[in-house]
Amino acid sequence: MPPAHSHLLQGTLDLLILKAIGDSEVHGLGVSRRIEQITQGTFRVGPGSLFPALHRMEEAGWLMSFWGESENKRRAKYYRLTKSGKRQMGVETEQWAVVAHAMAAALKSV
Amino acid sequence: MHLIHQLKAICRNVLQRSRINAEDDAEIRAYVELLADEFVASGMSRAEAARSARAASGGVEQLKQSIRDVRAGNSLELLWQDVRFGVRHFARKPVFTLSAVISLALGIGVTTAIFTAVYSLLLRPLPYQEPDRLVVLRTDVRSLAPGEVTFVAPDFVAMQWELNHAGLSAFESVAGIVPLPDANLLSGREPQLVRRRAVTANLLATLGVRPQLGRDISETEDVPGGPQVALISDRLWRSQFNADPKLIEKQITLSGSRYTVVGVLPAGFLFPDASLEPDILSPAALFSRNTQAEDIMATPVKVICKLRKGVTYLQAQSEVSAFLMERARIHPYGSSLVASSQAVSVRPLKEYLTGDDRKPLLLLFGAALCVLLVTCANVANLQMASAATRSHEIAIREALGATRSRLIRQFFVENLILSALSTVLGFLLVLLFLHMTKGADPFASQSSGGPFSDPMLNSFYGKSGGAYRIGLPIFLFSIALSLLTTFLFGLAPALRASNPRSFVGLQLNSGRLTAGPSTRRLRQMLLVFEIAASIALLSCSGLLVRSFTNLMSYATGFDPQDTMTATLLLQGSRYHSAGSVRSFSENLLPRLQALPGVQAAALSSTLPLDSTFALRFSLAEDPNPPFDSGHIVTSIFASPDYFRAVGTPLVGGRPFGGEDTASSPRVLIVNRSLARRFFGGSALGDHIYVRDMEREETHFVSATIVGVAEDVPHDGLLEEIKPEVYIPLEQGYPTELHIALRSTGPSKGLANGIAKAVSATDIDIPVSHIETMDERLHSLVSQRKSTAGLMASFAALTIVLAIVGVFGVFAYTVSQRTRELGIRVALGASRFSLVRLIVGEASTVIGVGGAVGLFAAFVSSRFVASMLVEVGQHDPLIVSTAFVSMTLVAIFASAVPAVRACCTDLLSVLREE
Repeated sequence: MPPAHSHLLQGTLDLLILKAIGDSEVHGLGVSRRIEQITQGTFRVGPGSLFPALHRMEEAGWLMSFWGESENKRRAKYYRLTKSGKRQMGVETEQWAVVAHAMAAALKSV
Repeated sequence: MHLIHQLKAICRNVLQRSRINAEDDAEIRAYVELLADEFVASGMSRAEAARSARAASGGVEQLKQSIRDVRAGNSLELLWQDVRFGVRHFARKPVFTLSAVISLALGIGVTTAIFTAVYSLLLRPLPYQEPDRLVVLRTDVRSLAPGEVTFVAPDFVAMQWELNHAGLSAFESVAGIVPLPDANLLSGREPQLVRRRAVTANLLATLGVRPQLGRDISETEDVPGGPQVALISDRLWRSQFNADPKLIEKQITLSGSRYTVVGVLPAGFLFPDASLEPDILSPAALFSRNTQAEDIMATPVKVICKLRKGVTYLQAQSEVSAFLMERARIHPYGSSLVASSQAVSVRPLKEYLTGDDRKPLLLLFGAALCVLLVTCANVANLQMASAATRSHEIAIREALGATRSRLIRQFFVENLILSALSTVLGFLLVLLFLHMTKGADPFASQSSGGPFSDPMLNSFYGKSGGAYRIGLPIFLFSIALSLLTTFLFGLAPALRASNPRSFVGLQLNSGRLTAGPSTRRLRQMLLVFEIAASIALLSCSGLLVRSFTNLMSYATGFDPQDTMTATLLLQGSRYHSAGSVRSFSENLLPRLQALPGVQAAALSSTLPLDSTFALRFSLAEDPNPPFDSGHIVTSIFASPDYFRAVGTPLVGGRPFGGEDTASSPRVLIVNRSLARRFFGGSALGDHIYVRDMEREETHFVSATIVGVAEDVPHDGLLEEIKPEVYIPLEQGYPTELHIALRSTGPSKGLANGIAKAVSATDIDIPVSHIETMDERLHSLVSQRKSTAGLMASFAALTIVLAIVGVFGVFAYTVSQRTRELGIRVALGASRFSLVRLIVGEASTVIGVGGAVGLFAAFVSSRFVASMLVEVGQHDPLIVSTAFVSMTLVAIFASAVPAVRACCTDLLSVLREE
């Protein structure tokens, strides 16, 4: 796989996770289900990509984690956005919009 | 912000590993359970849901690993794993580790030790302000002192005048140093002979140095007839005046004259002269601004200048050349205002101060690097042998999923551990080496030894040697060296070992045959390099050692064994007449003769190897002989027992005796060269005219030649022997006297006796330089001796390393080929033919190494060419001896493992498989 492509995918995953969490507090499985829901089933994020991404983003300071209790009374690790996470979401949304616009224009021109 | 987060995360991950591990575990288990809950909600049974959830998540451990891989500080953790693994690996192989560490430590230690000298002599900036702008003017003054860094005073004065009147734009200031005779200092703790120099008032300012106490010499004092003032060195201030701050503006007595101390030079001050460090500086007083330049004597002046900012040496040189050319036009040579010659060059002060030490030091540094490279080659060879035996382990790790980069990194970490250990050990070696060579501050005044020429001057640390210490630069150098060696000895084995085809290591029997051709070629190339380096070093050191023994064979005509010598200076109001000097020696000689064990005691104006002075003479009566080589002769005043005391044989005639007094007829003893040159062999009974020292005015008297002495080297060992005359001490008037005592048995114990005898004769006369003739001889050759000695030991080290290398490689080859050899035996080959097979292969490699080595020896002898004495740069005997002996030793080293292997039962080895 060429590097540019995988970079795009990684960026996509980060933005999707940020978007999926939004203003709420969500645990890992919840994030995965929310992504499925908001992309209308296009993206299914398995645990093998999800957990590394969550931990990486937490170390980057975009996410904060805490232990909470799920609807069905299970102890689980919850994530929410930090201030810099929200800022990051703004930046990435902007970038994505630019890229999407450019790509759409490029594809239309041919 | 991001960075701080990262750092915090690294700290947390490293410090709380187990807690984080537990948390990850809990998080993933919770995920699996939540997933199972979903499956249950969609209708599965509990057990089935749990199983499907586990399957869907792909394994708890794998997920945890995937988290660890992205975590900050992950690489640190991997590094730590590699380090632990490496340490365990080395602990399992102590012999390999020990031999690698020791040889690397030797290489690193040797190189760093030489580097401390290179740094302190060549790299460290001079302790002056803006030293890059300081230069000396090197001129070739006709007939004055060829090759010396001197101007004549009128030219110097004119140059300063020109500078003050804006005639020279390249120079900021021009300062001068004028020689002054040594003097007896009488005001300190005890009488001491001190070295002096006269300097212009602006010398310290030009160097950017300020006295630590008191003030500098002022411009108004630097005039003829000005006040007698002096700056004294920190050494003298401490040793003779107890570092008394009240010494300033007090008077001290130097050989009968009184000087006012105006300042104390800073501790560690480096006088800008290549070979001496004076303790007293006084004004040069070369000219007064009011008198005409015609008054100025043609004294030699060393010129030290500071260039203006941005001026190049060449610009300065062309300006000063033009200036001198103009001077020579106005005042042609021979007029009272001598013009220095046109051949002037502007050289950096640093180069002048370190000049003579540069070459041997760079040679030694090159040799040390060579040793280090051979060490690296050897360790690389060892590594490759061990890597081959590790192919199984590597193959397993690769099969378990280790990436190639991970394997290479593992090797590098191991090598880093190895070189870190070696660097620590090497550094200890350096400390030991420095501790041994440091001795003492070469210029520290000892009351007995005096500040005369000292052996440390000739050592590799140059003048500033006493002051250096291990600093950051040395430390950084050894770290850099260690990284470099890691790279050198580690790269090839690492690349080889992690070859993508290494899975063959898993196939059980592979590797029992022979190593692949590329590995073998690499190892053979390393061997060729080692053998070549050994031959080059061996022949260079052979040339140097040979030169040294040749040099020592020049020390003939005297016997340095069991001879004690000392120096004293008869100065001051008491010694203003020849009679007073005569009565001093008449009083001293019986006291010296009475010392226990003394066979012969003598006084003379010069000793063998020492500097001499020349007087005019003529063969026929001539009231004013010309100053040319046919009328100038080296003159030595000597007391009757002189020839017995220094061990110079007389080839004819008689020695001086008690009958040769001031009032008796003039007699002379001449050396063999004089007799040959002027009298065609036997000169006994002939006459020559020499100056009458009793009279103030120049007057020549006839003297009879009563003896001919063997030639003795003076002014150093290699100087051509000139015609010399010995004059009875009673018939001369020397003020610098040397004592020579020949004793039965070791002469060391005489030092105290000499000092007591002199102070009993005159309490105010200091004795300096009390040492045996042997010590004088050795201090003269100490640098050559240590260069040759160090080169020889480097060569020996390299040879040992090369032998170990050859032995190791062929021992390994033989062990790899046991099976093949067994088959050959089974097919009927004789054991002798097997040895011949292996040694034959070895000889090819060794032969190539020898050929390359011959070439390397040929090229590298250029670096020692200037240090050779009576031996050609490409001396065929030495070069071929180096070549033959090294090749033979290497072949022998390769034969040992071959013979050993062939003596074992090769067939049974074969049967076991």
